[in-house]
Amino acid sequence: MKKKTRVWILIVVAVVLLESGALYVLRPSAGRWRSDAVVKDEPAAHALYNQMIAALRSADSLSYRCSYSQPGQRVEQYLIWLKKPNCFRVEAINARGALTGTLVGDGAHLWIYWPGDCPLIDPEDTNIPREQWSTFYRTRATAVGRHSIAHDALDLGRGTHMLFIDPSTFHGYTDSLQPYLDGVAGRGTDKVGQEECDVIEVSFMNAQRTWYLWLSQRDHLPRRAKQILRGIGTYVDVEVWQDVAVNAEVPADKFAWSPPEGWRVWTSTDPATKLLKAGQLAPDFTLAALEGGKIKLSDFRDKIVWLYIWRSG
Amino acid sequence: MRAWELMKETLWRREYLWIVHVIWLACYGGFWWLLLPDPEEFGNLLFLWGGLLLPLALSAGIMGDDIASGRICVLVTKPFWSGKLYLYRLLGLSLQGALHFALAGVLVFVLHVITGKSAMAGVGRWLLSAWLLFNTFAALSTSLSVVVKRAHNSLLLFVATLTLAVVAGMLLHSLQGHVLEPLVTGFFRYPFPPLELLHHLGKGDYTKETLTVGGWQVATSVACVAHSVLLTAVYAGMGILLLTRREFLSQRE
Repeated sequence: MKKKTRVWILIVVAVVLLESGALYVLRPSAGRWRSDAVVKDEPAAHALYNQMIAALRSADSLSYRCSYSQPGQRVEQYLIWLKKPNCFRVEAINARGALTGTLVGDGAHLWIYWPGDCPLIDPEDTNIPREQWSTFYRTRATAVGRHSIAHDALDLGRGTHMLFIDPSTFHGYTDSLQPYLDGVAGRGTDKVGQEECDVIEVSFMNAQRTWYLWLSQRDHLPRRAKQILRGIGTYVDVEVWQDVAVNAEVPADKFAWSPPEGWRVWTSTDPATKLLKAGQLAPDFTLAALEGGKIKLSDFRDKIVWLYIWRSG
Repeated sequence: MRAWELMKETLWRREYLWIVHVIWLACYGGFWWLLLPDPEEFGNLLFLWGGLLLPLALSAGIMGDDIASGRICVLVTKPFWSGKLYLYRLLGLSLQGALHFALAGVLVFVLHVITGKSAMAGVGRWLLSAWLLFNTFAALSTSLSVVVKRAHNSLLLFVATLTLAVVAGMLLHSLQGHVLEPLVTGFFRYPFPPLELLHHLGKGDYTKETLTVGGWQVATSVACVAHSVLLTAVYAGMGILLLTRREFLSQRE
């Protein structure tokens, strides 16, 4: 056989092998499944979901580093320590690696404080002089299983996000999505780092929200979680759990904080102060009508107007 | 030297080709400046405008012009292997595409810095997938140009792509849930220019925040790029085969 022919045969074989490999990887599979509907509940997958909740609730202490990201945005970190019955600590670290705020629960109260300016001050709507924006803290009482760390974490700095797997689940809290769970389906197994995981898909509110959870086969806790929120647009959030430690010793001082001298408590403006008084004329506004066109409040003057405000997702 | 001359010739063989580049770049800039797109909308424009339509505009008559004028006989005289002519023409197109997308990236970056509009996230991914698509269409169009007269290769490819897209859409719609659906999907997905796969790549469907269940899918991204490059090579191989087997007339056809 001529040398040239042998070279051509080699090239053709290499191309065929390479293309076969590429097609094998690109083949449609359940792992690449794209959700577009409510999942059908599978008892085995639902059991994995329940096992995750049980693993969260049965631990005496839990700590992990949660990396949170959205498409096109840089990763934020949340360092989380939880201890029974009602202790917690969350440190939020922004994309530049700077601490933006700390949330501490000492069992009876929560405390939120910030290393710099209080992010809750609205620069356009405040009478506080600029040089006095720092040394603020927030506090309030917390009852066991009745408060959401995920919601409180939103106050940890400008641009912080809500963790969709609420750390308060550890303390027995049930988030508001749970009654609207449509079903849980299995999506096979996958590896996150060195951890073998079962992957499940959880759908809420007629698939207005979908969670994909990678649950460690070792401790049944998440190692990766992805939320797809389908509202007017589609939003994706990803949480990656690292350095997960269950029932490890956590120093007591992690859950203690008291305001240093000179610090002031931050109190939000009471919304009632901004409400209209009886007899005061409502400011006019225009909204898009469902049937098309516009609706103007002033068109209904002297009539009773019922404002029904709703949201989806 | 001859290779470089042939590559360069792909840009200067028709007077209007540099104008096409400028108009296309102006369209990206205008879209970014006027419509405040999100990265995905901009990516879609880059993908279809630059990945699909640009190679058709640039490759019109790429071989057919020379075949029609009889100049091909001068170009493929021995000892020059006629396959090289095809290769350098395609390489010339591919280089033009690479430069075009690099300029498009610089353009939107400058606009982004000046106007502060939109975000650059994912634009690099879109540029890569648009260039890969550009190469597949460039190869297909160049191969067609060997057998189709004058500049009809681009028009024919454009019409064929549209027809195929419509037929595929109708067939797959009517076959939803049918046992033949995966077979038909595979038929349209793999042998033809990988519009769907590269669109997924550009959109970031193989990255961490994809809508699918997967996380980072480096293997999928690599497979997607490999499939696209191999497909380009296969289309080019067919063109070279056709070119080397053709007899040309030295006078105007």
